[in-house]
Amino acid sequence: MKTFCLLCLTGLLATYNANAQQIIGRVTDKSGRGLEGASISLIGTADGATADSTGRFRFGTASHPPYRLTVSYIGYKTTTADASAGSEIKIVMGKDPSTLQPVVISAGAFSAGDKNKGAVMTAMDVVSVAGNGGDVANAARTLPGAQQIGEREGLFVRGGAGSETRQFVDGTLVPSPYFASMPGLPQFNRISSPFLFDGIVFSTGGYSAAYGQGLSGALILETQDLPEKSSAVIGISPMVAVAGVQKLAKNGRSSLGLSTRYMTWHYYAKAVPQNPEYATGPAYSITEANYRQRTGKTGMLKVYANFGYHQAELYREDIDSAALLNRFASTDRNLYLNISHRSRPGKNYRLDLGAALNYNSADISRGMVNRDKTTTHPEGPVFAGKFSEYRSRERSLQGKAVLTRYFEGGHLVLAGAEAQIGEMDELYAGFAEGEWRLHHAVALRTGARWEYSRLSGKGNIAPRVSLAVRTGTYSQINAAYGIYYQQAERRWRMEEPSLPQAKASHYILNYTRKENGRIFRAEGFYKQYDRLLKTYPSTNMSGSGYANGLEMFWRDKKSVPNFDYWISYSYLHTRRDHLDYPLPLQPDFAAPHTLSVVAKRFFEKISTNVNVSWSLAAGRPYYDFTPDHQIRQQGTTRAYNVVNLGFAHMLSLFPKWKQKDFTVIASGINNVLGTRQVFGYDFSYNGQTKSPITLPATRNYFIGIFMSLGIDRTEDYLNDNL
Amino acid sequence: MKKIITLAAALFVLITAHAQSSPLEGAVSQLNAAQTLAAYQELANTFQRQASTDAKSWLPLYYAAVCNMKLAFLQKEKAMALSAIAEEQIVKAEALVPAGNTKDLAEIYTVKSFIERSRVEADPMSNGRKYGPIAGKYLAKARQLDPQNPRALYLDGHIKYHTPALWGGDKDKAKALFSEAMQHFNQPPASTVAPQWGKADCQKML
Repeated sequence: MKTFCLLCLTGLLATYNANAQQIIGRVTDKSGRGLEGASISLIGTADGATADSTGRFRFGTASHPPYRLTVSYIGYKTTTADASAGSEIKIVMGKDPSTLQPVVISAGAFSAGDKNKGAVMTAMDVVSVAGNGGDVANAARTLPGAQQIGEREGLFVRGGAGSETRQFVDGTLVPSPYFASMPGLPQFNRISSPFLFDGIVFSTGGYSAAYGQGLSGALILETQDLPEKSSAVIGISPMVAVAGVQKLAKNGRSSLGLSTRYMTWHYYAKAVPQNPEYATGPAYSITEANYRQRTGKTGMLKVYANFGYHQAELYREDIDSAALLNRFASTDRNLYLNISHRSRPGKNYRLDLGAALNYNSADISRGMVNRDKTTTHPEGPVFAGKFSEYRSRERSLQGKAVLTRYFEGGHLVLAGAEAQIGEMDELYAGFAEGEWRLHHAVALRTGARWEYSRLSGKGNIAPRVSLAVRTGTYSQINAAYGIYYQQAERRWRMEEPSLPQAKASHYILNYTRKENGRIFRAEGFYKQYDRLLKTYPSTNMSGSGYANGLEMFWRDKKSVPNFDYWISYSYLHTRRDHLDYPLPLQPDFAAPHTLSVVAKRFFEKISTNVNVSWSLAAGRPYYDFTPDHQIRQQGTTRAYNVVNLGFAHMLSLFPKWKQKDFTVIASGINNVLGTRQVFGYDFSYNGQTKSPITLPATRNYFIGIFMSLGIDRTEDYLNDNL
Repeated sequence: MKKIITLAAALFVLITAHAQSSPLEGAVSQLNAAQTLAAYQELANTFQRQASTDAKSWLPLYYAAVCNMKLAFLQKEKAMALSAIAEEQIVKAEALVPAGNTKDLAEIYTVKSFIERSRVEADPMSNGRKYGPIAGKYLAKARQLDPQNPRALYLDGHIKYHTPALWGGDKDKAKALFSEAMQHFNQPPASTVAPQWGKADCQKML
């Protein structure tokens, strides 16, 4: 009985084992590490197994040899292998390059928005940087490479002047992005609302051959396509009133938008005294209109118009005479029209057409008045330079066409032409560029740009090269080289029509690591100015200079939930001999060390976003030149140290409405600590007195309420803070 | 002796039981108990293998998608790759659902919505705008096809729970949805292989 039972048992086991040919093996990567979770299956059957933590597997099968296995694992190329029962099979899997993030050519550039593969921030990040006033260019100042300049507008990049960083909208250059400059005060950007754009690239050098005329940098903005829904926005604060609508057509193929904004410092200055005295404004009126239309299957037509009006009248103590005041008055009108069309004329082609028209009129008057504001004309060389009447009417027209051809394997070649027609000169440009995926881990961009000015009769060729090499799953090394040209401002070319273009060469080396919401970026650069404008003793292009430095950027939005911060540090060493400098000097807009910290935290329970930005910069040099341009005095200002604080409380005032409103109550204080900021000095005629150029008021306060209906920014806030 | 008989009997039962219950059934019951990454990975592979030999049934592919979607939620850094696999599988499964079978289609759309949601949660800042609305669209479709699907109810609750109040999140509403889902989870599934996962996750929220 016992024997019988045992036989039975053996028999049972035998039948069980009969359909159990054992297949054993191990799956590893090329370095021999076991791939836990790899799926092994026997072709033609449902038999198979999953590799354990050491990569080993074992399974039984009732099928008959020959055995062929297919092995798959996420991120690796699926492989097949022959197997035989009983002997261990070794399977080595190779990485599948197509699952890795593509290499992005990114030396010198910071990008924001959905459209950009290498984006480091979103439009909402830009708008929520404390103290930037919703201005893209101001937000870019918290990134490495940009100087903290508080007394004038513009992005001062890597030892370059503000005018060396140009702004582009949908491919074409914006000739006058800022309202007319005011002495000692920064000016607003005309076209800077971050919500207008869904692609923002801030390049601190080494940018593509498709752009030109920015010696140091470029702020490349791409406007949005059609909005998702119709919407309306209104906002009010003591300084600003805003109203706008955006209507999406029923068929979803076109949209029309209109918005207008009025800003004045007039009332604010009455509550918080400002120095200089704000007699009129500064006041601004900005009206924008846009029309977007899908054309055909692939086309997108965008028309954007911006009309800006600005008026200011300021009085400041005169440095040479205690009894007198300097008067500055300006009126500025600007019409900007941008038309662009994008289409795909063939499967592998993309055609971008753009045209822009700009009309600018500026009337600027400088003079002297008595304490009672009556006009006076004191005689003598001391006051001679304090009077001027400047009237300018400037029209410009641009056209640009770019054709891109995409090739198998991710390569692309583009070629384009551009014409910029100004009041007295025309600039023609042609460019070609190729992007080559040499290997799944190597991308190379090679391009050249040719520019010709009719007035000077001179042509230039600017080669540009940028390379990206992936060094790990999340890291890459980038390098770039390029030559950049920029024409002198019109008034200098009127004086000296044959002026060649200013010229700079950029050399950039960059390491970027992006992983799970954290970004680390280090970039070293060398910039050589081969030609810079000199205005004394004569107007020519014999100036020169150089800049080199090292920049770091760290952003982390993962470590602490609802908390996001970034830190930028820039080291800059630069000398230049330009304008009326008697010798190569560190320019007065270049601080050797700049540190910016931006931190944002969303408090979900109270629906409030708190933003802090802190900027610290080493002192900048200042110079006092004698009338014959010799250095009479020089020194270094105190360090710049500013903390800005911003709050945005989000609520819905009328939650019962069909179109629920989304309301933001925003408030902020700039320079919370009340630190005294000195940007430089004004010197008296005899050099015996100096007066600091500083903020118009120690602190600046802001409060406003903005309500939007229909589509709102909820998604943006939500996604930023979820 | 007795021991041997018992052993033999047990073995016999085991083998016959093994023969009777389909491999799919076994895997589905394992899925009900799965908690760890390794368990979901193993099941994802198992279901995929079953799908490779059964070209007509939507369920193995559906379950493979469910497992990969679960893995995407559990491993944010691999979520995009995993959700791509899950999406491929669920699309294939959808094509195999018999026409007019709204309940099964509701299961498909629920998983589609879960997949999009896993993409949102992988990186809300970069993905929320893109995938959030798609997740919402699929969920609405699933809810419309079968208002009583407990997994769709649970996902609805999950989204409401994790969204701040200002933007339509509502923890009370979420709780109500979880308990409603729980009632339907407590009904026995239509068959041993019919979709029945998610009960444990839902229970945790109550």
